[in-house]
Amino acid sequence: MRIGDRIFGPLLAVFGAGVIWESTQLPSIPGVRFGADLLPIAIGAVLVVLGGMVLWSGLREQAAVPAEGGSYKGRSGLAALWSLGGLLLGLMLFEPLGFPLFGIGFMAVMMALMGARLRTIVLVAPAFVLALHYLFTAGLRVSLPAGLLAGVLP
Amino acid sequence: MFHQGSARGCLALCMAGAMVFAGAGSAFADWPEKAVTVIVPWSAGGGTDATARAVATELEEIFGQPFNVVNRTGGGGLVGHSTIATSPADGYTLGVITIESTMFEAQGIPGVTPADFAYIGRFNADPIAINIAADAEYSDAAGLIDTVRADPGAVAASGANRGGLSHLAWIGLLDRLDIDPTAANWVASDGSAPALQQLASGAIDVVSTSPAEAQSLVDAGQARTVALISSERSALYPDLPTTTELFDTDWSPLPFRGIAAPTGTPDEVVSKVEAALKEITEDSAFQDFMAARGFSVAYQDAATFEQTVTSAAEGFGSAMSSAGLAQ
Amino acid sequence: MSAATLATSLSMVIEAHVLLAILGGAVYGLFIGALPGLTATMATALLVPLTFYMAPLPSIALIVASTTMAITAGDIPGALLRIPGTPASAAYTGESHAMTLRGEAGRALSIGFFFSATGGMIGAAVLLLTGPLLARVSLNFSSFEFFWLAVLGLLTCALVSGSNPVKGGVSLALGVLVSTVGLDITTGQPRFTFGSMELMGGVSFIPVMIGMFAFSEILRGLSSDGARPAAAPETRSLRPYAGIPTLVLRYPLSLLRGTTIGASLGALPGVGGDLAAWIAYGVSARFSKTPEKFGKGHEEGLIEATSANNAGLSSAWIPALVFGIPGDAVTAIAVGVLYMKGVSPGPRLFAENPSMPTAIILCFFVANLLLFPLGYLAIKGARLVLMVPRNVIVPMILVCCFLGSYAINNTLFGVGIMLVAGLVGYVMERNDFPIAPVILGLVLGPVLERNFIMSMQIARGDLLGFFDRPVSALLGAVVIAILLFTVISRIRNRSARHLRRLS
Repeated sequence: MRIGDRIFGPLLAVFGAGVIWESTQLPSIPGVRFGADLLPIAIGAVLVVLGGMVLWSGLREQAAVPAEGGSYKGRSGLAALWSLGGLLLGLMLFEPLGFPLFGIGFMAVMMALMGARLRTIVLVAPAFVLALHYLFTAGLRVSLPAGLLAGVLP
Repeated sequence: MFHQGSARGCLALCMAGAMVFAGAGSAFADWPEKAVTVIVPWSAGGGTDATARAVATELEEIFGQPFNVVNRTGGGGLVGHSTIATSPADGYTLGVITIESTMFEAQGIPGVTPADFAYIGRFNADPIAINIAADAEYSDAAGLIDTVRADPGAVAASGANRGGLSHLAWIGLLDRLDIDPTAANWVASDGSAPALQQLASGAIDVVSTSPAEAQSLVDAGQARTVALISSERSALYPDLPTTTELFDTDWSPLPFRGIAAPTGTPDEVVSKVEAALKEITEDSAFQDFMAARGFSVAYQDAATFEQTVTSAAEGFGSAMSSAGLAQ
Repeated sequence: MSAATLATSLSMVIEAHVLLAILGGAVYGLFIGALPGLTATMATALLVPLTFYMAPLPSIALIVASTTMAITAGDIPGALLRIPGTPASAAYTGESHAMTLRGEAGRALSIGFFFSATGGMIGAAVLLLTGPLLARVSLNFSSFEFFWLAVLGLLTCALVSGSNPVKGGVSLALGVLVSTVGLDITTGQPRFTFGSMELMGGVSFIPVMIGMFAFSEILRGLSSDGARPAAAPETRSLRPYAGIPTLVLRYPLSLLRGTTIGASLGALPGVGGDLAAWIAYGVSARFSKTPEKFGKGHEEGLIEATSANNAGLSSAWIPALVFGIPGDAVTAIAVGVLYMKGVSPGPRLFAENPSMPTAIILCFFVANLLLFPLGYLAIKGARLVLMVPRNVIVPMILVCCFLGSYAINNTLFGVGIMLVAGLVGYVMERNDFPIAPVILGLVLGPVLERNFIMSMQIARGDLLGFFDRPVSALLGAVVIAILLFTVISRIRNRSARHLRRLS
């Protein structure tokens, strides 16, 4: 998504102004000379100024139409969508399904969309995910949800 | 290699746990049937984390199941404490709570109140000490307090964030000595290490923190520990006078570390861990470990611990109102 | 330090169980560091229960070796997959990944390991001589000096980040802004949390780093102009350390300067470790004969930054050992372990038992020495990573991104942060905003803010307080000089261009 400096600059400035406004809402505390609002307000101001400078440089570039590109087409577009959507889905399914099932499912779909052969998918996805699972739970003692496979997996 | 050995051991434990779990009923008589998570609201490497890991290791030996320490840090302990409070009360999530759990409510920060926990037991409590720069023009607590009394804003003190325990201990003391706490100059820092650095560099005058943390700097001749903000002398530092002796006050804020679980955790679990914690605190290896780190072992059972926490919460409520911190 | 002490310490270190601990720690560290999203802090915390059963020196050796190795190994996913291991390595991840894209992964990794190890060894050697002195100097740094250091770090970063300092400045500002999210430590007020309990804890840099670097790279790779491969597999030479001696001869100054910057900044508790590599990279770009090559896979900045990184590692231990003031989580854990073993850090340790701190520094030396052979194996192994077809490695990286950002705090919130950071990073890069400064802003934001507020509280609101202390005044003067110099040279350039256009 190429936006171009002429739009990005004003966006930044508006965002900076929003930050300043939000920061002024912070309550002040007795006995504190410089409080929690100081840095956010300063950063907001910096963003307003820099946003203006970005706009300025965008205007000076001779109508440089941003080279369009980075579009998503076909299977690779689906793969990009899945890399985001699948992980978003993971936010919901990670705990009920557990890491092994979710991980294998996500990885298998992603591999398929990127054109991996079925044999590779069946071999690699479960092996990699289960290896990671045991590495984290048994080796590093990070508790990962086992989900549906709780009690099934060794 | 060492770590691989322990990893293998843990793997075996996990397997054993899973097998037991697969074939067991729902009664808590057999608790724990699988790995237990122990949430620590402070970062890996700090005092709370170190003691929590030591307790978890011992719990593991007693119950034969893994007790996995998970650090949930951020927001001055708020995030971790709230995670403990909102975890499922199924007996498989425990937490190490610290005195900060009693302070959020009075500051008007939502998420954690003392009523959110089922208390299991306390294993440590150490008083806060007053540490001053070695080249200060006064050499004892009385001299320091006289200087503060003359101009409260001239003496910069630090040790934690505004509203943190170090802060409350210091202004609570000033308040009881009839010095206006709102006039005191509190330099908010992120814990005691940066505060001690400030003290050593000569930028500030007082750090209120545990004597153990200041020990190296005292040895280096860069700082002096002059008094404990407490009503009782410490067994680890018998020579340090207390503010109660010196100024005849009754201010004794005592930071604690204890085990708690979400409210509603089954009583069987609470009493099992309570008994185990008592056993651990009586174990000489654990006592040696704590003494080596400069922590005292101070066991309290569930009921006493709950009482301690409740009265601490009340004490801080009034300390914060007098400092204008309460909402 | 006397020769006798050195001899005693040496004999302590070359005991079999100490060497075994170093080897074990190094292999373990290599493994943890190479996994995206796992940190040296986590590696160290996991070792603590193990040290209960070990003698003092082997326990410390274990920690020393695993952190040294984990931090260096963090450069492997950095170079190959553009996932930096630490905030410090974010300074040069772009550079080393650019080399990988050119098919020079082996060279990027060789530079990483070789100069990390060399920098680390020189740093340790310097510490042997100057340790206690350095500690004494570092103890004089108060919030006033730390504030100027943070400004200096941000300034260097803005000036060297890519072709457009304005856009670099925007990235930095965004990073600093994100660092203000959460419960403000100085006042105890929630900022920009919008009622979310998870946001109260703030945004940790690990998921941001994974998202901005790794996830956004994958999104771009899948788009139609991602025609260039995620990593060029046809590697010119994966023979480890080939051509390194030539580089040493060509850039000896970079090595020495990087090591000096690392060793001296590293001794400052809290900021040194993160800053050293950034400042070294900036200095390198400033004094380079070919500054235009920076950011496109040039060796010079990489050499200076990686050697600074490891040289700083050992000096971070000095304030911890001499005064018990730990600068970061790793040294805090180490101090704890030392206490537990009855070895109290402090000046008494140096006076009564000087062989112990010397032995610890020697452990650093040995651990860095071990980087050569282990790095050799790791570079050989890297070939395997590059041989994996893209439709297998990309799904693997995505699963690692997910798991790494989950494991940092055991919460899905981290995954959410990673995804958002990935999208933001993607949009930023498409519009030519550099992303590495975001990470530095995120790390330095709290340092900047806390030290400013602390200083103002101490100086009772008097801004001149920043020039009251000699070192602080000096640092302030350097910052102002750099600013003036930049502004003046820019104006001069512009008017020169203007004149040329007129004529």
